[in-house]
Amino acid sequence: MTLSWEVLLRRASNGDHAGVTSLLLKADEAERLAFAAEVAAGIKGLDRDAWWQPPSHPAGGLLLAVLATAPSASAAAGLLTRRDMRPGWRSAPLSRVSEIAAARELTWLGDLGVRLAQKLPTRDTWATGDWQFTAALLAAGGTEPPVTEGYVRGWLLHLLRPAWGENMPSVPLADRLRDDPHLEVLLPGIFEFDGLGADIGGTAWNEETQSYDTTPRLPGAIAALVAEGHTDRATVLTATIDRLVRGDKPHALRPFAVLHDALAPTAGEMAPFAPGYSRLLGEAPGAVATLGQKALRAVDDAGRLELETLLDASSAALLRKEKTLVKAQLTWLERVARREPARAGDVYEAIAVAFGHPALDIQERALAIVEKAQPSTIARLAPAATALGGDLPARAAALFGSAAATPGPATPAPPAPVPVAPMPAPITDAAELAEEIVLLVHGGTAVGWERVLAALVALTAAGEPPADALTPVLDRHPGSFEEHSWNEGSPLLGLGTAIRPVSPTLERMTAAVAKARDEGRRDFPLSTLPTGVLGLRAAEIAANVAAGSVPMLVATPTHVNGNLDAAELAARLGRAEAEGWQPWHFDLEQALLRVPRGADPAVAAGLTSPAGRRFADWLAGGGLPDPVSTAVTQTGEKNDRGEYTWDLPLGRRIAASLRPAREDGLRLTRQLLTHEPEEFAAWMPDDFSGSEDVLTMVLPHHREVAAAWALPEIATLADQDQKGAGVLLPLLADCSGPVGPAMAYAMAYAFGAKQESDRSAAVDAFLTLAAGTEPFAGAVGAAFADLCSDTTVKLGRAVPALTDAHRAGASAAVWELLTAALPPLLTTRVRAVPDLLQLATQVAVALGTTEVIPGLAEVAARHGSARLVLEARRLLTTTGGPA
Amino acid sequence: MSYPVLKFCGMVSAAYSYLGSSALDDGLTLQTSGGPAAHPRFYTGFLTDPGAAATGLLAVAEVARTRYFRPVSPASLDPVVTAGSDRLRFESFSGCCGVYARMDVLPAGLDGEIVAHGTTNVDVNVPLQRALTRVGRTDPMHVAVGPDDLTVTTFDGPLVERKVPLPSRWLRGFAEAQVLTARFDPRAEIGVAEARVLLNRLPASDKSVLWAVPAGRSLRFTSRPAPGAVCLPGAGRLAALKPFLRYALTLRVYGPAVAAGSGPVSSTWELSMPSLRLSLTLSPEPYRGFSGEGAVLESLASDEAADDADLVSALLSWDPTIDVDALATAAGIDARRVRDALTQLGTSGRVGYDVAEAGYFHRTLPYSAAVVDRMNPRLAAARTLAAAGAVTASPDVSTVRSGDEVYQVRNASSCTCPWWAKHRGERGPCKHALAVQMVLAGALEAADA
Repeated sequence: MTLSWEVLLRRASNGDHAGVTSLLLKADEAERLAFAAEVAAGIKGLDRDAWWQPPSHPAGGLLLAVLATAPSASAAAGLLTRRDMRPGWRSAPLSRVSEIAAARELTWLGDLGVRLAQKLPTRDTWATGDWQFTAALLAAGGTEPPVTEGYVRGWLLHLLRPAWGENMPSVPLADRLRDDPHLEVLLPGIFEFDGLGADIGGTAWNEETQSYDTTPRLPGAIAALVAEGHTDRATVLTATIDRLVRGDKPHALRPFAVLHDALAPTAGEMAPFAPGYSRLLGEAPGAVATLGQKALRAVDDAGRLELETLLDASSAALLRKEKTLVKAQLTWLERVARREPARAGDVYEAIAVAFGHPALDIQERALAIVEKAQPSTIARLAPAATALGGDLPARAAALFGSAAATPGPATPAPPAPVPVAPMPAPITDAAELAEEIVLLVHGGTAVGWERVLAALVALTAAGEPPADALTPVLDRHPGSFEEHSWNEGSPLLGLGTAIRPVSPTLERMTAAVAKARDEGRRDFPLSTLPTGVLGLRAAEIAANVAAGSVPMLVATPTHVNGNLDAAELAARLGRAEAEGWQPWHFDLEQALLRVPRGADPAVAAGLTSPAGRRFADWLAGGGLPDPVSTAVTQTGEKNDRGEYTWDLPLGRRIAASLRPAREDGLRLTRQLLTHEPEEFAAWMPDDFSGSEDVLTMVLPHHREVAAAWALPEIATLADQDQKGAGVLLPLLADCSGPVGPAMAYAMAYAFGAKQESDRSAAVDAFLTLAAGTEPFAGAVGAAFADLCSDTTVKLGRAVPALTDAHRAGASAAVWELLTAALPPLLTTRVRAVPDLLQLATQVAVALGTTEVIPGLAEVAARHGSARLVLEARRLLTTTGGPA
Repeated sequence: MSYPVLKFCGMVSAAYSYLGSSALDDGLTLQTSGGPAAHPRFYTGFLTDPGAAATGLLAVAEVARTRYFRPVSPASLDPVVTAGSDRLRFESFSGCCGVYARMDVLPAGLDGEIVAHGTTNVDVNVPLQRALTRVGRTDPMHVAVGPDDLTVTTFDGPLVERKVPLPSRWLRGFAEAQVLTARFDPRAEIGVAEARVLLNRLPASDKSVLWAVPAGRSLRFTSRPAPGAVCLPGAGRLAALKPFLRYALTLRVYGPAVAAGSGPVSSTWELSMPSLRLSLTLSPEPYRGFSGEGAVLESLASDEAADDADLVSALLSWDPTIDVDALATAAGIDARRVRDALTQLGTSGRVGYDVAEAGYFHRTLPYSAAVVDRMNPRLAAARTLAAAGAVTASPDVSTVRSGDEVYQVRNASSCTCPWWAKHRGERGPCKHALAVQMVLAGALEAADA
């Protein structure tokens, strides 16, 4: 019988592994070897796209063919490691593999296994099929497995998470480990490769319950083998400590910390590793650092810790953010100072490092210890005392003399207002326009949109129809520029239609724009969101641009925040009068909405056309009246059993409703100023994600409106740990208008955001607002207290951000925020309130204020030494109250 | 060069061997491979701050073995060491192509003799890393970089062999990181206690892009760039610096000039003490390797720079920094052309850049990046376009036919292709703009001739 690639491929594609095997084994070895080249060529020649087709992936069958024909391990490995063949590793039946190997009397299966082991995946956390195939080859060849990352990982996963099947192990992990023929070779690898700890700590098979759970099982199993003397204790302990010291991601270190505790090393065993433990204490993740501290103390208690090691570790440990650990370290050092009077000076010097800790209670604890030192030692520590903050420099001055009383660098000046940048120069030719339009397709900015719309109208009217340059761009992105179910209301659709009018889209768009103008309603394809105004304007351009009678847009801003100077609008309308045209309806409405508050009506005095008169009346009437914005409480949705259904349960969320203050004669009012939040909070609202600047540019002088619309998205930063929406806040700060409840709650939520980037956006906005003239900090403080009082927002997250605002010079505004937030928070049991009081002390010192916070004296007068009481007393004393 | 670089199927692979493993017993012996000799010896003597040096070397090794972001085919290579006239520099580049680490042992850190100059791989194996963690601050430590002559001539033990795939993006990234930092200036300097508090505050897994500006004695994070701000992309990638904090005195931060609205940029974070400096340079975003930054493509696209580079490379010395003016005089070309030539040498791995000294230094990577600088995919694609006559060039608006699409390139720099729209010049010119530049340069040469 001759071997044929077609027959082979057909059987392989049918998943007929028995057929493949019999086909190949019926031939003799010479025929098989002769067929090898054809198999190789066939595999290489297969079309990758036509490859994955029913009934079955052929890789399993082809893998058998490779094993049955390849002349050597390297030839087989070359084919099997092709990406197309990888699925075969999992699907080839191992019984067929051994059948073929036996028939050919193969001697190179082990060699092949070693080669394949180099290519085992290091990422996939569940599939162990690749490993099983490789392990089977190695076992068949009687070859010792190579200690590669992929192989060790597959071995580990196979032990911890056997693939679901009929024979799930019931033998305990420790027994399976003990019986593993390669334990000695592979176990060290578990300690060597970075990231394996994450797999050990993940879900694992529990033999007792016959189910998966997340208790780390390997540490206990290894400790059991050590306890019974099967595995060498010193080797395992050394490897464990080395793994912890070399460092890894926190969750990857956790199982090794568990193993360390399970081994319960004695002081004598730990003493040689003191430098390593010292590193853990200084730099490892919190839990591991505590392990390091305990170990070093045990070594010290046994009298085997060198003082230098301790002092070295302390300088790092005392600046950690885990306060419990820092306090324990201070207590320990104090004891050492008493125990070793000869070196007390050095010990106190180490203690003084804690003067640089951000928390005042730590600084104070360190200062209290230092106060008990010898006078000669104290003199040595004076330079370190300049790091002390809050009320402590005064106390330090008493101790160190005036030399140390010089406070740290003066608080920076309050932030200065930064002028808003003007719009970039207009687009002047079709080539640049084409480029800018491509940018819009790939996530444009509001500034980009304004420049493109302005240029499209101007170039078309100037008789330079840009279609030639723009058509290739439209052709390339039909999904954006042509009508589809997914781009309803998209400004790109309006833009595309304006450049290349296509029926029936154009007719529909023209009708929708007319309806919006005449009846104020939004028909398909227009959006009802405030950001939909951009799409409406693009549609308006599409409906009218071909006529060529209007040479320019009047709404194009003069500044990047969307502001349009009144004089500039007057000039544009003056030009329209002179040239005898009228701006389009929504273009003019948008222009009016962008004019600054309090613009001088005189700029429009000479205008006589309808648009000109409308502008003059608008200015005379004081522009857009501020809408009524009201905070509204939404509740989290619960299921039938009354349970919250989200991963992060939500008790309440603050949203904001909007309604116009009075009739203003605009067709855009309903779209912009009317908003009623739903009763239940939405899980992940994202109406404005990616178009934050479009939102703020619609109403640049009414930031409260944009804040009200986007408040749910900003709330999710804190209550659902989302990220990204913080970018809106600095944009809002760059706008103008009063700060109402929506702005205040938006700031409060963003200060409590999960991500540092969102919190720093809140700080940026806070600084910009502080440099402005609108009052805001009190409102933010009240909103902040409300959200923190029931931990809707986590106060602990917000304190560092507020501290940043203080350090950047906005101390007065931070103080105003705190005076509003502290009185209600002092009556709660929220954990981080003492931290907020510490910040208040630092701010009060910087400002030299004597304003007393209402309710503070009552808390300070309570008995006891709870942190809340102590910090309340500190703040009270600082602001001139009774000590 | 005594150094095998194997090239097949577009993938470069380095195969090299050491005379045994580096070890720390009586002293630290670092095994070397490649460079001026098969197993060169560069230094023998003591280090004045052994604990700090051991910690710094561990940090360099940690970066070499870490993937801060998992690419398709990671590389992981031993650090390289360069012996200049008065200092040793240990460098490594992460497998994800996004973090570059360097420890400079300054003259004050060496108490011994630099016996030869050059660059070589050093073996920093796992047992050695374990041993290095146990070096105390002042334990006297003798160091030999490279085996002594006797060992080299009489060695008959088994070689420690390594064969490591070197994806071309890794090689290009390593080289490109040098060129990017050449545009950096110092932006902030803070005390080490403040630095510790700052780094402790950041979550270990942070992958977001933050900006930092000086505030009081420390830095403050901000969400958007402003003049003077420095970018901190993926703060979690600074983890390797932490252990060195207990030795360092200051943290300096370097970065390029930025303005409001700038996209993420790379930055260098450097801990220093009188005898040592340890710095990490981060790519602009964690998922973005240095390889695609394209900062150098324009100078690579011209042939003049290549000729100058050959001229300049012959004149390089092992001084701590390269004196551009002296080189200009020696080579008889002006300083601008020397700088362009240095850029070109940087991309081929033949010079590095020291932000602290604000100057290039001579360093020849022991795997030839020269084989790949011409393989830059964008440059190769541009050459193909130019050669295929796909470009209708004009100084203002050109058109480039690429497959079924026609793109329009303005002023030989910006383009209507999606790639340009996505990056807007932050990662250099696109292949279409490069092709136009090539065609225009060719046209100019033709006009000159």
